[in-house]
Amino acid sequence: MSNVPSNLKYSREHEWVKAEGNRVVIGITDFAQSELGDIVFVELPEVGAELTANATFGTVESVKTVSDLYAPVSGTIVEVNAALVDSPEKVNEATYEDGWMIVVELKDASELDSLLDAAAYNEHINK
Amino acid sequence: METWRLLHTGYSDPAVNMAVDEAILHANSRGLVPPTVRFYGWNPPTLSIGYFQRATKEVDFDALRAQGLGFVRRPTGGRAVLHDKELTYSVIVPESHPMMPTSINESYRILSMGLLEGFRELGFSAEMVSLADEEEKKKFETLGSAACFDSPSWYELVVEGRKVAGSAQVRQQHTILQHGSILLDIDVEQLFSVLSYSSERTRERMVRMFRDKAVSMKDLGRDVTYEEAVDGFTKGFEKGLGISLVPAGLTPEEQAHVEQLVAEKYGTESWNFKK
Repeated sequence: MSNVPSNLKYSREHEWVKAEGNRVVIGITDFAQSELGDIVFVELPEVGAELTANATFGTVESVKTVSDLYAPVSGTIVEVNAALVDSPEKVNEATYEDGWMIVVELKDASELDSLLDAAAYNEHINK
Repeated sequence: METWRLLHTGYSDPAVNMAVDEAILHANSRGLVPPTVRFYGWNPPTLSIGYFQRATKEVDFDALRAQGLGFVRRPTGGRAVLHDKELTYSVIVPESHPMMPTSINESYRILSMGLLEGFRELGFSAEMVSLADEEEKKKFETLGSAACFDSPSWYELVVEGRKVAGSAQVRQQHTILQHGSILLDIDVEQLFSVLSYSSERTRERMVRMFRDKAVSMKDLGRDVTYEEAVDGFTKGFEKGLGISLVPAGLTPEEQAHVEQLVAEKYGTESWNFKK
């Protein structure tokens, strides 16, 4: 069973979103990291880059595949988890903690309303 | 039975080959073309590296140039592959296609059924090995090798315990591209002669280990031509995936996109040497 913390929001593309005021922290879900298997590289944009909801914002490579990461919201990147460059395994080990990827200043906070809550995401991954 | 497009693009240079795969992915993601199975070869023979591999660290470019080999970075993951006497395949299909499961493992298994049936069509007793299985994984794991055929992708096609095809995937724009090499023949010495190692002894050890893990159809005692392989794997993909393949060409939009991708991406140093 995948870990789906109830205090987070989720995208259908398997990103988690943690709201902190007008900023959100974004990473990939436990389900996603487990599907991907051992993650060997993470490629993220620079601080200051603009993010558009549903567009690609980065790339992960696992032992199985190279996969696009899709932005759950629009906004400006204000922080990037640089530790993932040298330690991409943090995404496997603690995806909701040290495995976070980016912090985004929201452009339109109402976009959060279109994300899934934990129950709906659970349903999404177990359908 | 569902109809997919069959593309024969023959032998092309490295930049064109990778651009064609990406152009198909884009066209398929926009719903402009059906799922596609493509067969191709390489002229000149080419060393390709995975999306994240560090070119200057892992490749000996002096040796590469001296041997007249091409070079390109793939959009897919994995390690270095020397494309020479092989049949290369690619499959492009939406992640949301009814045949594609959510599970990445399962998608490998389903797409690799085409390879399995292709080898059988050509008379080889191939098997699919799941590397989710810890025991099998151990058998194929090696430390620190830059070459693809001795490290695991997810489902491997093996004959007599050795890998005879190697595949890699990328998922972009909600579309899966899986491509890989089907070994007609292989020159192991040449592959390792263009990869960088700290010492000759390490290189020799890598060559020995590789020989235990990879095998070509020729090593298995059969000279299979490119054309015979195309024929066998066309039937294999039809049977393995339960589809009907209809030959067609690239659309004019795809063709234009190929030219753009060669000029702006796969033919440029900034892409090929970006890491």
